[in-house]
Amino acid sequence: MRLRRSWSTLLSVGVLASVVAATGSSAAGTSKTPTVKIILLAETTGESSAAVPYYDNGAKMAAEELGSKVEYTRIPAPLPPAGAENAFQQARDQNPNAIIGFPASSQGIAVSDSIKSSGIPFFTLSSGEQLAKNGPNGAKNLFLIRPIDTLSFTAQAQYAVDTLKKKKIGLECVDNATGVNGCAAAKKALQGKKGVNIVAERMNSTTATDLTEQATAMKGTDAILDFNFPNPLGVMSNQLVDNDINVPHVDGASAGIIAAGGVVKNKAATNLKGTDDCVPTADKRSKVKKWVSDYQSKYGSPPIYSAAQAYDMVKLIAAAAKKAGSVNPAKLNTAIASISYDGICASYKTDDLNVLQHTANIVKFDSQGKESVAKPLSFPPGANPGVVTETTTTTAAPAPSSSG
Amino acid sequence: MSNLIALLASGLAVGAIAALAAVGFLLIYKATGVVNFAQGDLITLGAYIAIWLTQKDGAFGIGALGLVPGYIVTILIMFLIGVGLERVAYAPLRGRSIHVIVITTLGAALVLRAFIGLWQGTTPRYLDSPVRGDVLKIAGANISYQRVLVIIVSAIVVVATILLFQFTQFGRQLRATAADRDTAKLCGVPVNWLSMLAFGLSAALAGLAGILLGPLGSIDLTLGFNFMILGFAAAVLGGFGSIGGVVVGGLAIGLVQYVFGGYVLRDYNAIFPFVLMILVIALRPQGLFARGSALRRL
Repeated sequence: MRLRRSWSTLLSVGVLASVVAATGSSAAGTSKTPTVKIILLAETTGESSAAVPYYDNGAKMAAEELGSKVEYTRIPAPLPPAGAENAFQQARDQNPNAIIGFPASSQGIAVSDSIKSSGIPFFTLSSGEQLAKNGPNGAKNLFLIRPIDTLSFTAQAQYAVDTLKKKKIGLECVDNATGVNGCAAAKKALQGKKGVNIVAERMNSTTATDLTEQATAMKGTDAILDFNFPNPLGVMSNQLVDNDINVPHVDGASAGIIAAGGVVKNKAATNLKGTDDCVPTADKRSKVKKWVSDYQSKYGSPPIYSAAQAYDMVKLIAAAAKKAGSVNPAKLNTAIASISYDGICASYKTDDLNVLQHTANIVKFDSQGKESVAKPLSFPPGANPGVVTETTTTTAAPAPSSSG
Repeated sequence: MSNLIALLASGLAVGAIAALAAVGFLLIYKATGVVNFAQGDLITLGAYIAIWLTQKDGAFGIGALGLVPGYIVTILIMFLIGVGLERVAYAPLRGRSIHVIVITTLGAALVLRAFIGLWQGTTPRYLDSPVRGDVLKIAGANISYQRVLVIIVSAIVVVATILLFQFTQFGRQLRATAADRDTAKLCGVPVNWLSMLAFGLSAALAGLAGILLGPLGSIDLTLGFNFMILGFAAAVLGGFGSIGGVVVGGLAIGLVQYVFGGYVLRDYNAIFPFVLMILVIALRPQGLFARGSALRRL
């Protein structure tokens, strides 16, 4: 009698478990888009002196809009390689379906083997050409959100010479990968340009607070190509004006950062040009205007390109998961490789090198530092200047074409 | 010639800021025997407080103060912060190993930096100046008035500090404490008050350095750290003894980096202050202007 009761209890439990399991699987089966677990590997304000809030703000905003379709987490990823590797392993332990991260190329390069072996779709926030799919640190599952940095560096040089028609060029290079690769790309772009000469070349440290020698060396140039970090760029911009050197001073993304901080005003601002992947605050499209307004009311300050890109990536991953009908990394990688996504910062489409964005802008500033687009740029998909390493050569440095 | 003059002005201005940082080191060292490695982040904090007081809505939304009143209030706030730092990072550890206290000042530096980052963010900022954009032309060289201001204000402050050391009761008590803290205490010198005052004055000097330095470039969380290192080198050169010694050390550092480094290995001029420091320690371990070993003092 007792044995029979035990059997019937076991049977009941078994039936109940089956019903629950069947209901659960049915619920999962009826869900159109599986929840995508996305992890951001980036620091935010207060976590280090180099940390910025834009990546987290943008990604969080997209995740909130997507609701249950996305599960979003952030893990701080310090700049040193060991810290980046540690952050990546922490992320991997959480079994994410996709990872966005590493604002510095050095982080991505250091962790590239782990990224490759994980097979998890990884969207890098930096754009060193070594990380392109055919580069020494590239991988099938490693996607570059931004245009390859040496393409932007090349575009700076071409803007000074081809658009502004300047002949006597000064080069200023910060003493790290940005400066070294930037100046190498500029020299390569200027090679063979008729009548164009590099008349001065100087280097500075990332912590320089006085660039008198470098600024005075630029006397006699009619344009300066600067590949610098924000602080020394601010010093250089102001010291050039102090020394009556009022020529176009073309830098990269640091230009927008110092202009937004009020570091350059008047001639120092109007002389300065920069390159930005996009300028959300100057974009006239209604969806971008609304996004900028929403971002500003949510976070209290206007967004820059990196906030827009992080926002776009979360949305793109969700769209890829929907397309794949799965969050399986292999299927996601395949979906990302073929998806087209029209985002806030750009229209994204993966090329042969796993680069998603193929546009940027040369930007200029008014006397108060307000940014606007001087020249839109577009880069041919699959283009890689091959400045940093011979193994990454694909096509010659392309001439950026005006798209607007 | 114009190039030499421009480089001289740069060297003197950077040397003057390094000297201010070094005097800040020296004040605390004399009163407590401690090298305060939070000095650099106090310089950064001073610059950010000045921005907070003088830009946009000002502190607590009460409107921006004028530049000079804003600077003065900044220096007063920094004095109070220095006193507070002494209370939390030095006073509770008095009597403990000097290494513990030095590490605590390093910890305080990290806390200050994280606080500034959370409070003001990490985007480079700009501190305005009454002489922004103005240039003095000397023999073909363009020297920004801000650099001239740095040199003049630093010279005045250094002279005032020397007078304070030599001709006031505070100075005499400070020198007595530096010579023998226990004996000074037995003689009725209020050593606890002295250490609070020294931390306060040192932080005020750091605030002034931040205010002078800020308009020369842009301000971020690492602004003061580099000058703390230069100030430390200046103090070692001067032998951690007299104010005059560390001031000469500061100027030597600025001149070797910008004048010598303007002509020789100019892309690597940042190494010259430290090459000079190593040479001086090797040849004259007590520093240029002190008796006894500077290294032993540390």
